[in-house]
Amino acid sequence: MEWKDYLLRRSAQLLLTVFFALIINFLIINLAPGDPAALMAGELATKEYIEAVRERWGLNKPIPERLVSYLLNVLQGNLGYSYTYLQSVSTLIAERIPVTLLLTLTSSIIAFFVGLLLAVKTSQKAFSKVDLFVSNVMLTIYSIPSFWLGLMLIGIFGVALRIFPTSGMVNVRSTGSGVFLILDIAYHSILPIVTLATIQVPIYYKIARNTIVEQSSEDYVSTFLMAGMSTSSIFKKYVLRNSLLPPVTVFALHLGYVLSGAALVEVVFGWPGMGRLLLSAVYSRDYPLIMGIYLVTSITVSLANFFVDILYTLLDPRVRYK
Amino acid sequence: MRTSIVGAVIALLLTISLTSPLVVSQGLTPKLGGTLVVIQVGDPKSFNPDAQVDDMGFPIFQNLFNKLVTLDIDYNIIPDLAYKWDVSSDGLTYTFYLYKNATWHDGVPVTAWDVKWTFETINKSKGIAYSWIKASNIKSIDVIDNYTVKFILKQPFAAFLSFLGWYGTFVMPKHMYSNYSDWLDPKNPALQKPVGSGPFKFVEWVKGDHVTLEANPNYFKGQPYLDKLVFKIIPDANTALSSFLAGEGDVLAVRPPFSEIPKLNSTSGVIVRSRATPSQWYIGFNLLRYPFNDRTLRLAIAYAINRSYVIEKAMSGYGFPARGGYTSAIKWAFNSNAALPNYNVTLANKLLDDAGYKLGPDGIRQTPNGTKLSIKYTYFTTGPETEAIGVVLKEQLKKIGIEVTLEGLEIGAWEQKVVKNRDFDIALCDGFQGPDPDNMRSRFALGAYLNFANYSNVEYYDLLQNASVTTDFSTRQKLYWKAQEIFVHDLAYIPLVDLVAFYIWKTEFHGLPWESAGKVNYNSYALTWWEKGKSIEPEYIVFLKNNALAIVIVLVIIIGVVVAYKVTKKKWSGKTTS
Amino acid sequence: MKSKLKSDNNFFYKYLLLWNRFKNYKGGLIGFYLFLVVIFIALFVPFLPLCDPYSIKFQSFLPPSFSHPFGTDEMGRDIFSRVLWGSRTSLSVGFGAALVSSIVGVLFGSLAGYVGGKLDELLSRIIDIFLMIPAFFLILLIVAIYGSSIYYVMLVIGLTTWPSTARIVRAQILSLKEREFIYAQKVIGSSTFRILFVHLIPNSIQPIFANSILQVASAILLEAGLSFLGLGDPNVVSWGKMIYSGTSYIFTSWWIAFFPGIAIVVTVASLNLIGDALVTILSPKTEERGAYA
Repeated sequence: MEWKDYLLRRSAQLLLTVFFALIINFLIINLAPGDPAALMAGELATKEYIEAVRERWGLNKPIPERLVSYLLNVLQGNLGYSYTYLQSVSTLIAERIPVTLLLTLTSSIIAFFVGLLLAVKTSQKAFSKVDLFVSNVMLTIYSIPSFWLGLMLIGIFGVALRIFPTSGMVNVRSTGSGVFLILDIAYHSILPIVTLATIQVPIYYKIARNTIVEQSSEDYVSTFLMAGMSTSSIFKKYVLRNSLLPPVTVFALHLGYVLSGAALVEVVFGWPGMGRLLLSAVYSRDYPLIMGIYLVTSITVSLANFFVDILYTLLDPRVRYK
Repeated sequence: MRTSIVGAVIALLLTISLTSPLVVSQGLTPKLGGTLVVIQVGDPKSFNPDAQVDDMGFPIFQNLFNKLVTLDIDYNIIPDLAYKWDVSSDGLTYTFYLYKNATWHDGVPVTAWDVKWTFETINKSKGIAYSWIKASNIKSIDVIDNYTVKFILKQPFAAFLSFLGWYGTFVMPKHMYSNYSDWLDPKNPALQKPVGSGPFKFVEWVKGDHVTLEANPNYFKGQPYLDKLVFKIIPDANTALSSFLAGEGDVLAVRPPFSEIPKLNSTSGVIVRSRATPSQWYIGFNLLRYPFNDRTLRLAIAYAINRSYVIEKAMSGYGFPARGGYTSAIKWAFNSNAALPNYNVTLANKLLDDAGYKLGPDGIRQTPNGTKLSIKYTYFTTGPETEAIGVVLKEQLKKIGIEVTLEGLEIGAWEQKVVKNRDFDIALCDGFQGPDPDNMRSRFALGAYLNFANYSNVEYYDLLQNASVTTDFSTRQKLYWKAQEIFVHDLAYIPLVDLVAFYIWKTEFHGLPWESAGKVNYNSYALTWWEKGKSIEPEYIVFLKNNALAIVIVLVIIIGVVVAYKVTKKKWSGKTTS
Repeated sequence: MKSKLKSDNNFFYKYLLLWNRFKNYKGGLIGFYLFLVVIFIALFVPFLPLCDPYSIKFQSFLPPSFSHPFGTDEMGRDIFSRVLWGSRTSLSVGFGAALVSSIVGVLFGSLAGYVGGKLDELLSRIIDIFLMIPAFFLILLIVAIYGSSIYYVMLVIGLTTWPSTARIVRAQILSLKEREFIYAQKVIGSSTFRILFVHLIPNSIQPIFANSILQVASAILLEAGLSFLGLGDPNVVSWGKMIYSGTSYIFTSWWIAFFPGIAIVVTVASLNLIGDALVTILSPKTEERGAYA
């Protein structure tokens, strides 16, 4: 019973949070300077023409009215039409999601395993020279700006060595289909994924390492040691398993940012993902599109948090329902 | 005997190898086939070419659709859908005669009804061309017969034809749009899969990546040489450049950073050409704000700016210093006698000293009523030049005791602050000033939305208004020249740079729009062909043609050898040993 | 009077202990010395014999040489001097943002933790909402639209990153407020204000300290990201902005984007190293049971 209550409360919380985030975003965007009608009308437009554009898109109605109609639409699943692309916002976003996901999901998974493996290898002997060295190197890697790393990789591998393409998702000239298309995209995705993965490895390394060290200092470990078990079997049978939950948690939380996390890398490598869509939407004051992207990213982050909370209550019996 | 045969063979080989290149090997005859990839910076918004400003869609529309008349690379008016037109002597009636064999890509013929529908809809739904073709000035559009259409204006409008050939005036298929009350209705498939009448037809659009077109075999002016035309979309100039250099494109329609131009020039297989283009960078003063309403201050600032240095530093030297009150690229309208002040720092300082702008102890002047001369330069952040120009101006104005702070806003915010709210000191702006000097009226004159300086000289306005309705060419010219004299005297705006446009492409492609003046519009690839395509005639004929000279010489040698052989044989047979 | 003296002693003593333990962390120590170098540069750069970082008088695109150790950029400015002057911008934004974040975070976190009940519920909801919004996008939106002056950027970053500080403070206050010495204060009738500001908050500073240092690091990266999109303040020298301009010339004049990037890595890494060492020291579980390096 208690658990069901918790679930209900948590879900209500989720919806409320998303709702408020939406309203705040609407206000920030719509109260901003910059007139989408004037931008759409272009240079050499007369005032009369701009007014006509404004009327056409309903921009001359007062803000509260626009907010209400927007919220009603969202509840019906209609995210509106983009001013600049003249397509439904949901279609535009749906097109870009796989692109961004390809980069962020793949890099997160790679970073997860690399970070975990590295941590397992080095932190068994906590605070040894190797462990500390790797730890510090990871911290340094974490300090590299993603866009700069991407740029340097382009410079080295794309330009100087000419091994990888420097931008884009596909080579337009020979757009194959099926297997060739997949291979082409994969080829173009190597540098961006390497960039994103490199920056994320330190995160997973750190959380895995900290948990391992924490677990290693627990009482049960010294008990087993005294009972004569070898350090490696203690590690494999107990410490490792207990250390998996936090990194998985972090991974799940990161999934929430899976749609927004790659914006800078998308810009550097010219991939048509969510980040770039948002940037162009901001510059042309495409309100429905901006709102749509925020809504989707807020929902994913909230959902990820929600699932992590639920997961924790299921898996870790020590956590109480508050 | 043997030696002479050997000699003849050697001579033959030499001749072939030496003379073949003499006859131009690849020939100036177009070949068929190939794909041209044009790299550009963004997606089109939709495929309705007339409803909204769509600079990314425009080059694509220029290959998908036709206008009544169009502009070539020199901004001259050339026929497009109309092969001939008449203008009545009172300037009120324009009659267009359309090609009879033009069809839409779905086979339906293009008729005068499409023209009528297009322009009436531009008027009704306020298409982008509404303002500059003065759609409200069109009294009626009459269809005389299926291929003849008449426009009757209320008042003469001298620039009407120029603007008809420019932007947002593509003839659209009535049969695709007439079932929808709103020509931007997203349910209309024509917005995503356009039906046009142009040399290329639509294949696919992968958003954010590319738009593919293919040759229209039934194009009324003849099938294009290319098989496919692909517009590849790359988000920013740097990535676009690296893509082009990596061989992923054939035409670079994105201007790369200026410093890369020499590198492109010296890359083998790449050609770079530049042309003056009727666009300028100019700064405007907020004339409603003290002290910018003081002409002496503006004049001093004009003297303090070294336009060549600005171009050298901020644009790597690619551009021409603005010389007068209009772009020099539209030659007939440019008045070279109405000159901007030349660079003269001493004179600038003297003017300010004499006018009571005292120099303070920190090197910054004060206005006569005591405020520090610290001004804000507002620009939009569409590219690095805008800020770079500001950095140079900052340094130059420092030399006459004016402190400048930079304020960069993205274009929407800039538009709101400067144009709408007129809340600025000095602002940098650019813009296309063609195709007709009537453009000045929409930018600088009283009442124009873009006249952010609040320039209100009535004489200037009247001159431009008159020139807009006068149909006599030399009268118009004189009016525009006088207007420029006033413009450079008042200095509400100071033009800085006459822009240069770059054309960058691979040498293996010929017949590009900028090489085809007088024939196609300035983005059209209808006449473009690829060196490595298939020849129009069968290969052996081409081979014969290409190596005609060599073949002739070879034949001559062979005949010569045979004759020589026969002759010497006779001689020899008549002799014994010698 | 007497109690004040005791607190002073406690404070000083605490930090001496901290330094002793900190010294044993090689990574943290390297970070600390690196950071000292950065701070030194930031503070004394006006006195160093450098070219004017704003002057465009040199020739553009000169490669690194003796007279221009990092070369010149596209406008002809000396990059070496710009990298050094840029440290001021980055550190100001970093510390400014972290300061704003800390102040707001401490305020909200302590109120939530101490007052509890409905206020706590409300504030926790607000914290959750803030955490839901992808911070980078929000900052991007606000700066792009409302303005890019450096003070504004500081403020905006601070106002979007305070939730993490607030959470830590809240947790700290929650655990502290049940302690004996707080009951003692309540018994003798100290006002809520006094309890909060004199006793609870100062004792919660330590965990915030480590977190704040990490926030400085991330604020610097955030500002670099914003500048890279062209949204930085054009009136100051910013490393992110330099990389932005250098992106166009990566093929020919790689040094324009390269050196500012190195500067960012060095500065941010030094802060991360320090912050990480502090976090390790201050959370009992992760501390060693024996072996240092």
